[in-house]
Amino acid sequence: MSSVFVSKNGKVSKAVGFQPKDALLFVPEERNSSHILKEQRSAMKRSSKQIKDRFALATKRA
Amino acid sequence: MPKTKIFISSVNEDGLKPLRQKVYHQLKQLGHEPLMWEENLGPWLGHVDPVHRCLEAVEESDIYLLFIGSRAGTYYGNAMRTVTHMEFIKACEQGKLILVFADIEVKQCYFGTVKPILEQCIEKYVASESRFPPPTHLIELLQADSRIPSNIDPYVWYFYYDMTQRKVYIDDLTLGVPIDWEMYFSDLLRRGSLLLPLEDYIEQTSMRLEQYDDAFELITSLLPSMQITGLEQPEGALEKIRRMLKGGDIEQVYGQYMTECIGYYRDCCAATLYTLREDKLYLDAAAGNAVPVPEFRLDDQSSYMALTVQMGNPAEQIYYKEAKAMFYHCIFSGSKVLTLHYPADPDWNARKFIHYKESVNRAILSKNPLIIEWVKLFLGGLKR
Repeated sequence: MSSVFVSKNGKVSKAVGFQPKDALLFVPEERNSSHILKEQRSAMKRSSKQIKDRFALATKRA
Repeated sequence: MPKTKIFISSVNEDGLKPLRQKVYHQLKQLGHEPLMWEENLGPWLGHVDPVHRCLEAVEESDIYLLFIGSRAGTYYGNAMRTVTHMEFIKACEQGKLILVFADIEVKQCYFGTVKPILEQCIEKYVASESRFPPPTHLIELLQADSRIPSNIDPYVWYFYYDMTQRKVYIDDLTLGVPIDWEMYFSDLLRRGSLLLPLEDYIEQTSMRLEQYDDAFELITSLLPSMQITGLEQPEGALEKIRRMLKGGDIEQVYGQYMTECIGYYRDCCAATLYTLREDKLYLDAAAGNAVPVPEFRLDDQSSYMALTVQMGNPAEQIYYKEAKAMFYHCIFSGSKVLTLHYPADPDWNARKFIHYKESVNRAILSKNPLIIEWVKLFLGGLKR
């Protein structure tokens, strides 16, 4: 699980315990919006293919 | 003319045996092709794994029909699932039309008694372990709970839970009361009749989506090789970007299917753009209700922009500050740092953020990724 970091009093450290309201909190993660976009575009292509294949089956006549 | 293949799935328990047979013959009489293991899934040759054969039959079928009583059936430890449940999961994975009929008394017991107990167990487990409990743990807890009738296999409750998480409708089954198949299939015919004429429209929409995706692919591949001289009206451009970026729900994901809405964030209310020159960040433009500071030093550890720049180039990070009730999405690309401000709903605080940090990151990063990707590439291509 990713660690939470806190910037307070001009210093950055791992966030442990109670944090004051003016603390700046963040969780560095390797996965950014570019990775998510890549996944979404792959999923869209798969769905598109599934729709085409399913319609081909549904409209098939003997 | 091809016939509709309907896979009949259930535990071969006493109460359901005659029902299975009756339904098999009724569906045949109606002109469909029912698939049922004891009737026509054989021959059962020595090397054929019956579970695999049943799962193959689910794949071949057009409709998956499930009857569920009070017994769980054969449990496979490796899969941590019963055979019937595996058939159901296969039908879901294959996108089959699923019809479920459940013993009315067992169903009422689930929704009236078991469901709240189960949800409480899951909530406690997630709070202490930060992950969804395995089925074996849930079944043990339910088995030990004296409020739950012991004449029903505890695995059945877990099966119900899975079905409701996947938003599968569970119809009532009263043994002895016949199911009106003509009515069911007439309704399916009605639904199909509404959708099939839209085939061309749906295919065209799908094709347009692919065209837009191809155009996006081309633009994003060309942008890094372009030198963009700058923005004539940076405030105007920033305001356009800000207005496009919408807020949304923040959901905690448990396992593959369960999500819980834990809060929300509002539409982007402010945006700032800074340029990195040597060891400082200088304000270019601001939009919305931002009250920006003219410059920051790179070693200023209280500045989310400075922190993001220190993460590398390009870099992207989400921040939260309780005092401002705000999430900040900070993007560093080329020599530019863009920050987008999203107001957090009033329930958020530092403790909640620490507990649900991954959900917050995922919610904000996955809401507008197309726009963000384009903005990142554009900023990266701006002439330094």
